[in-house]
Amino acid sequence: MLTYILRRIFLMIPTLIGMTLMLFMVLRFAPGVASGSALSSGGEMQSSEARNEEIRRAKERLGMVDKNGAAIPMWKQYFVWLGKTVKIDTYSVSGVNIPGPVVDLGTSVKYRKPIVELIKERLPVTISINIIATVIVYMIAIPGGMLSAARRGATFDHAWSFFTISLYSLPVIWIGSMAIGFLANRDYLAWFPAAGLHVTDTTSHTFFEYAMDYLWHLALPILVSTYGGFAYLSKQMRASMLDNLELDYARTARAKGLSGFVIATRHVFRNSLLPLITIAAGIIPGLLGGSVIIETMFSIKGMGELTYQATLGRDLPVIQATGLVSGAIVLISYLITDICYAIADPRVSYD
Amino acid sequence: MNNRFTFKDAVFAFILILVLGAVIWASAQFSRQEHRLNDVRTELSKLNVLLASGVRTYSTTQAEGVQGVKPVNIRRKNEQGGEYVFYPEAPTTPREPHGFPDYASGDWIVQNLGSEPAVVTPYIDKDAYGNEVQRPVLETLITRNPETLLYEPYLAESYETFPKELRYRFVLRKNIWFSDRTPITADDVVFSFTTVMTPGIEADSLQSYLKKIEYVKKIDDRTIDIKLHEPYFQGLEVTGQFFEIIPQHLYAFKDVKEYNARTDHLIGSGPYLFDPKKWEKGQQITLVRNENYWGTRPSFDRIVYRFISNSQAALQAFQNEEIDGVTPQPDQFIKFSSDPEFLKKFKVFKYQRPNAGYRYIGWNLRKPIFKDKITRQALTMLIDRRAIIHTIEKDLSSEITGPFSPIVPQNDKSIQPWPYDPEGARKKLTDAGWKLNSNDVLERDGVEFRFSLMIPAQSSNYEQIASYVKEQFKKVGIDVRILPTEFSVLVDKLNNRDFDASMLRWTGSIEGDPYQIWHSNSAKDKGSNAIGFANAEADKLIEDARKELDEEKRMVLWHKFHQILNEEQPYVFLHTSLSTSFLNGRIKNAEPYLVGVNRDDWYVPSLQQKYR
Repeated sequence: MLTYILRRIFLMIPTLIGMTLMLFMVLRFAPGVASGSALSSGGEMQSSEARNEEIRRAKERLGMVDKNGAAIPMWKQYFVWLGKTVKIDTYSVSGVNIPGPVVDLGTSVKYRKPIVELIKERLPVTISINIIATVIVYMIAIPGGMLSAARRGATFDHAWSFFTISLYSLPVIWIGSMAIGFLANRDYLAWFPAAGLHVTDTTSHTFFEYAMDYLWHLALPILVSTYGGFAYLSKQMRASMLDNLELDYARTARAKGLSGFVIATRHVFRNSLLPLITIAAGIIPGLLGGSVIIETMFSIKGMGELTYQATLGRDLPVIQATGLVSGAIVLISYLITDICYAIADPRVSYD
Repeated sequence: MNNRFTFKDAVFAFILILVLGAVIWASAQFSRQEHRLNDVRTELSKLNVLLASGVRTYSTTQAEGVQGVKPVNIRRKNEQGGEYVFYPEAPTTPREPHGFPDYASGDWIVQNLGSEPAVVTPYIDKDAYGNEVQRPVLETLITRNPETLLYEPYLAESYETFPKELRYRFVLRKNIWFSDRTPITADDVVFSFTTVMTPGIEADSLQSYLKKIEYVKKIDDRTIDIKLHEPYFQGLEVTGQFFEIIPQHLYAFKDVKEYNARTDHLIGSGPYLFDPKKWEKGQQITLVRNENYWGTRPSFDRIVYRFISNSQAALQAFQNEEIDGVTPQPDQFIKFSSDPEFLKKFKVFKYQRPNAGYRYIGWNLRKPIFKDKITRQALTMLIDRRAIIHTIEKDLSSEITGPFSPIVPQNDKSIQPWPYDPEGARKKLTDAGWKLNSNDVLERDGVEFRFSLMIPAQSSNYEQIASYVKEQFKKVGIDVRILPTEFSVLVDKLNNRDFDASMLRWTGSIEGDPYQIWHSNSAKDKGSNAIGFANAEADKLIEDARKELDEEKRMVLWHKFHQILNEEQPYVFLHTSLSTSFLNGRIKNAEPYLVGVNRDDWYVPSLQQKYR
């Protein structure tokens, strides 16, 4: 198993290098690089003598031109950038110095801050929304899927599938607008706030009040990121439960006289989890990436909003960094999936 | 098998994750409270120090005059034809609120910024949002009176201009200090200027204005002389208002990297204080009243800036009274400004600012189809600009005839807008040599009248106007392709002159400098004259007007320039936007001035105050 994991980690290196190459090329060939700062507020443009200097400076900072404004060839730019991003440094592990890579994500053009700091600022809110949403989705969708499988063809099965698929079909942007318009509006139901993470004045809040206020503000974003997820997971769970219920061991259990509930929860459940592990691995990058639509709609400054604004403003270091990080996370979560398979299913062996 | 993963285990795992999450979250919250406790502790120790040294009180209105004689403001011409202005009293806003019977200080004002500023450090701020946060914290030598639009001394008690020598003299007030009570001296002014002009400081656009300054010289502790390289009509603005005064002892830096790296270093002499710890990322920035302020004590205890970018959510938050002011979208304004329920609780303002920008369609004059002015005049006559204002803009903009706001003296009011006259336009097109060809498209010298109109993407209003223009042009045989373009790409294309026509907005100012957009020098390289307008007479007028310091003579030159543009029609000047805003009803004394609403006037009577 260990050799397998090590082999996988080494195989990641060429994949990562390929990824950096793709990311770099796509961004350098994209039009409009280094001129995102020309827009002033309200969609108006400002005429300025300094624009050229600003663009030249931005290009120099991105390593696209040298000090005199002469263009640097693309392949050279790539290696310079790669060299800046990944450095070899020595780590001291219990007194022994071993060489290892250090990743430097660079500095944002717009915020002029190390990108690591930006990510640290943005990540907590994105993660908290997504983890709560995922837990809710799983808690509702899995039992729902199991019940559907148990009552296959019965009214509940049809109703549940109709219900979840209807939810799945509703566009997020519409539901979000409706939620703000009806659930956060004094004219209808002012149950939730329309934007932000807590009320303006929290100085006198106790811990509990602050926590409730925070959850109250997150309620709508969580609602919007939850409702569409039931259908897919429920269907997966239902299908894999049904597959397993047909198998010999389930029939044996039934023949032994075990109740349907015990068969479902004790025997079939575990075996039906395998497909869900794949799905879970697919969710992890999304957990960190955040949803652009939801974050923009609820004015939440999370990871999705960061990437989106960086794309609009051509903040290349930020786009590269978030692309690189999410790429790495995808690779790692695939590895974790494969390990989880082995743990969940003793028949799977990689040695 | 003992490693069975059963349903029970799954439930258990869920609970474990929940508990873990709760623990992490709780510890974050406890540390937050610890921080607050620390704040209280430091505040207390500060108070202790203060108590130990005996409590001092500072008068809020200084220079009440010697022996009760009210000092007099002076504004007179000097022998060089310049101006001497002396305002001995601490400046106040024109609509001073302190005199109202229900005046009370206190309460907070919660405003919406629309987006989180990237940088708030002076000079190197990148967006309008950073600038907005700086405004209550930083101050300048002089400022424009929002009512009279005249310049008045601010940190300076007097200024004098010497047009013949291109010199401006500022004398600082006697008792002014930064928020840490360090006096403001001439050295700080010199330091502020040198900071902006240090090579490598990321203040390119500010530098491009300030490079007109030859020197900033300290005469004595309170007197500063500033000289320009050449006469410039905005000389007073450039020397007295363009750079804010920052404290030398707090901003001193060894190399520019150090200055550029600080994104939240904002300390000045203004009525409010910025504290990096009160910048909650993604949520809000809180400015606290400067209790050490040298001038008139402002009304609000705090100014809070929230960052709500979604306009629907911003309006909801406004209606729920989570924020006190909002700039509505046109449709929101139309809907609510006539809603009696809304008007009971909120104030609605609509006004025309002289410094509002304008929208235009610019023709790339390098293209043969747009080369002659008869064709361009015809194109203008094909577009019913009044109809656009009425139906698409919902009367929230007004007609213009050139690049100047219709309410500023720079604008030549005698110029009549080109009529909407499709028949006349058709005739002009024929005169210009355009004939319908077999494709039903106008053709001249073998070139068909087809072009693409570049507009900013994701802006429905632009798309509506563009579709209207397309329809109008189609009727006479001109084929328009609408090209919605992402903003960064659009700027690139303008810079590379790679476009046929584009619809955009320019920002405005009270007296604008047309050099960047209209002078033929700006058409070279990557200047802002993207359409390549080059007219020797206009060039000469711009150059002369910029050097003309006499206002009346200058206006004559601007009017001539305006007439040339009107004749040449290099742009179709569409309209200038009106400003709209909603404000919470508890805020009093909030009528807007010509240039907009002014927070310094506002107050909340004590019974209606919302925040303690």
